[in-house]
Amino acid sequence: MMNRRQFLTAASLGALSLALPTRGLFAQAQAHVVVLGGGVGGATFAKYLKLADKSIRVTVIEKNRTYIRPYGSTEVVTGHIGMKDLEVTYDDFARKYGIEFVFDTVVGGDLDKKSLRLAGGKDISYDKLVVSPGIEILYDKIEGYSESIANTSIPNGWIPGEQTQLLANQLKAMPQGGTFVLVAPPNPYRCPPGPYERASLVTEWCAKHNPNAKIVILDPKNQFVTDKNMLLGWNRLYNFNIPAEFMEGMPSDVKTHTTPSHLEWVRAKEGGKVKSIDAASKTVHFEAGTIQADVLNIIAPMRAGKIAQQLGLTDEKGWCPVNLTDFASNHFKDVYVLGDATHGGMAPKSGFSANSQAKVTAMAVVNALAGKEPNENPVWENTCYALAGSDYGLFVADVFRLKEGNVMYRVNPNRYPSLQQTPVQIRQGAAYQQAWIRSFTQDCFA
Amino acid sequence: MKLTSVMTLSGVLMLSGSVLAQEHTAKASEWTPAELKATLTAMPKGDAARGKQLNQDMMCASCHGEAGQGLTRNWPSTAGQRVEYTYKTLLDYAQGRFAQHRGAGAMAAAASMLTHQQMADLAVYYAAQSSPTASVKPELSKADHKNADIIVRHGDAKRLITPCASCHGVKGEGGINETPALAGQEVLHFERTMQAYKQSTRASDSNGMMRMIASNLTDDEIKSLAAYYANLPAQKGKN
Amino acid sequence: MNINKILLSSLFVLALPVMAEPMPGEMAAQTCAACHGTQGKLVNEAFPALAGMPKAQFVQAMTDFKSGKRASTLMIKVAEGFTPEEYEAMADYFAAQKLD
Repeated sequence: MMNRRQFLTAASLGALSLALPTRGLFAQAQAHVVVLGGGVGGATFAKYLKLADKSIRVTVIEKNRTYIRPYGSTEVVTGHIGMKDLEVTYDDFARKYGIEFVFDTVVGGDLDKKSLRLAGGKDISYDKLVVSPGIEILYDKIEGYSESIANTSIPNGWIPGEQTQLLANQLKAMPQGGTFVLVAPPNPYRCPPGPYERASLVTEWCAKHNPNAKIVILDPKNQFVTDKNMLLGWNRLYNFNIPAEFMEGMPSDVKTHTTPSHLEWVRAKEGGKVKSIDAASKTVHFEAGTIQADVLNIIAPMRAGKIAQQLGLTDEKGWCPVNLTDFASNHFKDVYVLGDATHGGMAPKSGFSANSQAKVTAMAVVNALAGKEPNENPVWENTCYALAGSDYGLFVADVFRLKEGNVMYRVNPNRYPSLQQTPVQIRQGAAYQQAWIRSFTQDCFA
Repeated sequence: MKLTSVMTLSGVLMLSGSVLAQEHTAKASEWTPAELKATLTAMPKGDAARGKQLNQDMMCASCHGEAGQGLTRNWPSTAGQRVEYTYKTLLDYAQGRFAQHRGAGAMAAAASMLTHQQMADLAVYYAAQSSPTASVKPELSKADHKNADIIVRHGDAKRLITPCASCHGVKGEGGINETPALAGQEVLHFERTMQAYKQSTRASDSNGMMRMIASNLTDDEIKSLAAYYANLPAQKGKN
Repeated sequence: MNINKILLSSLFVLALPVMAEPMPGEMAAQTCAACHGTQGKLVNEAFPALAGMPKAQFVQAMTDFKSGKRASTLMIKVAEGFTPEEYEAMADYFAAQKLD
């Protein structure tokens, strides 16, 4: 069985590859791979492609000279680290691997002619294009919300930057006993445990600095990735009473607290879905009522990064459909899409997933340039570490493979830590989360 | 202060079967010889059976082995180690003396959950085990072995390098009090520790003695010493 | 959530015939790098370096993580994702890497 991309690859490269079976011979006409986006997926891909074959010319097009990493950025909100700690620069990275960087924006292109147009006016052509565009925040999906409001008074901050710092400042300045409202996004979204980790760390921060504050999560969902482990942490750390439907398998130390928790989670079934906001008064109208926030953080719905939409890589849902064997686009030949922007089978939209996809796709691109098919038995990993408190670690961990050609499945039977984890395991989980941020950044960007 | 918040939270975290280690309240300053002596004198009497259980329950065994015999090149063997050394090292982790060393987080997390009594229990348990054999014994050229042997036995007065043997024993069997046995120790652990002293990210040595010595050793010398000690035979059978 | 169902279905999946083309050891090993460093070359971190690790140590570690003999936080999930043959292939890859 051959899909469109494979068919086209075979048609265009088949004859050539029979005549010139080794990639070394391609040195005469150096292959050019262009990577659109220097985030986790793009940088990892460029690095691993160069590690696999130095002779390939690799150009990364990225709009920012300094990248701000999203993973772990909630630690800025609570002041554990500063914005500077999120920054990644490319100079040493580019030199070390011989990767060319073009700091510019793509404004259009003709993917049938394998060409992109840059804002600077130049056209850039490629043999293979890898697009790792991240996400676009759909501010307008929430009535009364907009990007300019997000930039000035009601931050989103899911793509880290000035909004992240704004949220940190607002939290610090929140009046004693104030209300912090976090609006959680609908599925699918970047960093599945992330909104709940953010609520956790804000609750922990408030316990120390603003002990009468309230933290309210308004949620259009009834569950989330890592929910049971997270709720158990909340029960232990923040007097949070676990809803009955999550109680199966909970350990015996779970308490029914009589003093109300400062943290509240309003699910879809309890009317947690937001209908609209009044930005001026930071009032949120949700299905079950109205709440006025002192600090309001809206993690709005999202879809694949804008450039993926513009280049025609997305489907009607706003995400990029790909062939899972190598993450080749279903829409264009010789184009691959990585990371959050893809449907990506079962893989959560996480930095870890993008990093893992980048490595598998780098191998596939090396193969494709040599006229070979991608390995048909690929493997990806995902780990999302998350914190219910600074010293309370939890995670979701997956090893994914394919079966029946193009169906992704998880190999490990259970993705979550046991609810019976001992205190030392939980504590170690938090220590490893911190270590992971460092080693992961190295694997992507150094 | 990070460590203070760590302790407050772990208080909430503690569940049945574990005891909050209330003794560590703030980041400790560096040891003076007098403070170290007083601390070791005040060490509770350890119990090896309880230590054995803790080695399992606190996940020590996952990296340091069922009986303190290291599983990989990366993490140290704790078997056959001096009681005072293990006790002091656990205190150092719990009290933040390795705080500058970025890899120390996992050990700091574990150690800060232990009471002084539990630290002593573990120390006594490990001390009762046979000395370790390194899981990897890198080959050492004759010349490198000779150089390492000179540093071990004679040091280098010109570079203010005290002979290792004067504190750690001629056969790496450990010296008095808190100076660790080094024979059969895992190579990557040895190198990492010496590099941490060299770069002063580990401030656990009283009077800065190890930091001074390590800062005068070259990276190649540190590698040779790691291989030298990994190749030394175990000095102590099971008591 | 029905754990039994998940267990059963995953056992079923594992029992499916392995595809003709084996997964390259390098591809499997690259999944480790996000924590253990590119090519397993990580120094001075909370995660152990894998580059240059003797083959037997790697295989033993994965085997013991999978069986639960060796306690872990996360490694059991990763070890469950690979077959013993793949442990060998990954171990060969890491044993061939130089730490320096």
